[in-house]
Amino acid sequence: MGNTKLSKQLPISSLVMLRCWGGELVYGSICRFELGKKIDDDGLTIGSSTLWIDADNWIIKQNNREIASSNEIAVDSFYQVITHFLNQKLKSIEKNKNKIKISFEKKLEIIISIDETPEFDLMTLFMPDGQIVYGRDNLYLSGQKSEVRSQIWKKSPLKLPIDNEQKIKNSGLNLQNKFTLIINSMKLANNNIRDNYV
Amino acid sequence: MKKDNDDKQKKGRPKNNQAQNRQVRDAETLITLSTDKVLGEKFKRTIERLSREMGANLGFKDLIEIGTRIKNKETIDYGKYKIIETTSDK
Repeated sequence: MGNTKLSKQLPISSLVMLRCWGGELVYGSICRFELGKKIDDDGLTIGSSTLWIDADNWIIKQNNREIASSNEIAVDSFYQVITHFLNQKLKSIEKNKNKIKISFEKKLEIIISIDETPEFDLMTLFMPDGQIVYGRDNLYLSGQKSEVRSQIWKKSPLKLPIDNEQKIKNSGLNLQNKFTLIINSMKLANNNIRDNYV
Repeated sequence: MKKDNDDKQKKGRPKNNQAQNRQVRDAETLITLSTDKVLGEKFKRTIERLSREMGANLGFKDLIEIGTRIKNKETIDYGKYKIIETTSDK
């Protein structure tokens, strides 16, 4: 399966409700943010969605003020950073000029610098349905799939926190279809049919 | 104690964040894990567990070995890395 170039912006529907519930500094400045539902992956609790930041150069801002950077981040300081993200919802991922901007609620932003044409993934988002979006010089939808997430998604796509379930019921929409719609919309956007979704 | 940690740092994991990132990427590239995002995630979670939770001071050789085991879907012997052994920097 090939990779699909997405439009410059990957909006996350409010219905998907990718709220952050944890995260760690993994190695060097590589860090992860666990989002969505807590799921079991071979005895390890992971997010139904996980955002990985693999880039060498990133900063985290809140209210436009820098609160962390890849050059100085350490385990202890990352604990402080992650407290800002807890319970905050991922809002969008946007590629703009030489940056990828990942926005959360409470005006939290992860800004990744794109230096020339990166030969590796600067960020990766494993989505609840198993699809994988990654960023290099642009945002791409990988042809690969996270089976553990995909299987759980297929079995119980509506098993989300109560507030989310209620919103879905109220909206009358099927979340799984809605999520697929987002991805399809992104593909359409890439074909210049639509520049933005949501 | 501090000196001990410093020495381990020199012999195993590089101090600089970007150098550590590069070590992971180089290992992924060398064992062609970089093209598989799912295994790549597993690799990173494994080195996180080893280095963060178990205190292993992983060198490049360790990363290659761990990555190869993940790629081959072999069991990781966490105990092997728990007691810190020195490995040379790349």
